[in-house]
Amino acid sequence: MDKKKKKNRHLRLIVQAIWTAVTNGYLYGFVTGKIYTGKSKDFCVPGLNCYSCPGALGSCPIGSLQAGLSSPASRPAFYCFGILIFFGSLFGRFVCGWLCPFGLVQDLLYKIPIFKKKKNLPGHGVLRWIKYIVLALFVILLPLMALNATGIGKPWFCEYICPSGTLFGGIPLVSLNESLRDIIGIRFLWKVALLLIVVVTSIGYYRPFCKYVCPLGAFYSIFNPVALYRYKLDKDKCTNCGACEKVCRMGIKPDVTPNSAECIRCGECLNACQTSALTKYNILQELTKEGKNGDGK
Amino acid sequence: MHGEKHRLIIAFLLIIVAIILINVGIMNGDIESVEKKTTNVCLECIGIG
Repeated sequence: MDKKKKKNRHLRLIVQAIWTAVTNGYLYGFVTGKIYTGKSKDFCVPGLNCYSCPGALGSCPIGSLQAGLSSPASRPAFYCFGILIFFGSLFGRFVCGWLCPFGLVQDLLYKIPIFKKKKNLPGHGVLRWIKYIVLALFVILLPLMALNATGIGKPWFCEYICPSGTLFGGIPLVSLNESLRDIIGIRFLWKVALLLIVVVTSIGYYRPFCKYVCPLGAFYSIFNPVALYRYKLDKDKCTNCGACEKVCRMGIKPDVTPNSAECIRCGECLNACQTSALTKYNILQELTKEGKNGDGK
Repeated sequence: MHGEKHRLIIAFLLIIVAIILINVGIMNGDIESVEKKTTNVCLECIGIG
């Protein structure tokens, strides 16, 4: 079982790394300090991937949503909402676990062998609701309603919070462009400070940004119970041994809520289950099978 | 079994809604707005100004 667990973890890390490299593959941008402006920028990648990253070949769905909501020409941002619902319905928070560059960064930080490793921050049960407030307020309401004299809003989450944007966009661009270095101000320092807080916290606690702040994770979490990629619990096979809960680093009890809104589909619980009670949901199998409901909810 | 089938129906309905929204957005010119934004450096996003 340990070999299988290791293999799954390595596979996930490999997929995360390859996806990050492919979606940020415009290496010329890191040489020139200029972002890619080709047609692929019209399309959103599923994870939190700043479009101001010099290497980004696609757009951030959260950034694009704010851009759509803040512009009178594109409100109410049907295209961006459609993209987000599409990814959510297919994958739910599988995107968080396998396709998000900033998720990868936090996974790697957690591997650094300093600080005692813990799963959740104190107050986890309350803190995890903050990401929904961030989504509603900073991503939707403020860009939509806090308008300037010409009726244009701004991307509040990107501007004041997003550490992924700071790491992948802000720092590389400021490093590569002297003209930008000359005009950085207090907001840049604020964002770098926020990034540092996330980085340090991520070394000791597993994925704190994903659990408590990320509005994209909050959006996808709504779809976890119904997404085509989800888990299934066979209650007849489950012995309530607790192995799945022990390995879950998102603080979930998979034997109670296998499709919890907090689940990022890392697959650790599937590998830990000794009786194969927890499995991936197979659409074709479920449609053709006769018998008891294996949902486990 | 019924619970799983209901979830499957909901998932497919959501996918259809998503495709409709994407197409309405494209007809509405949303892509041009997104393109205008994402092909320029977002100064607010990188904390400038």
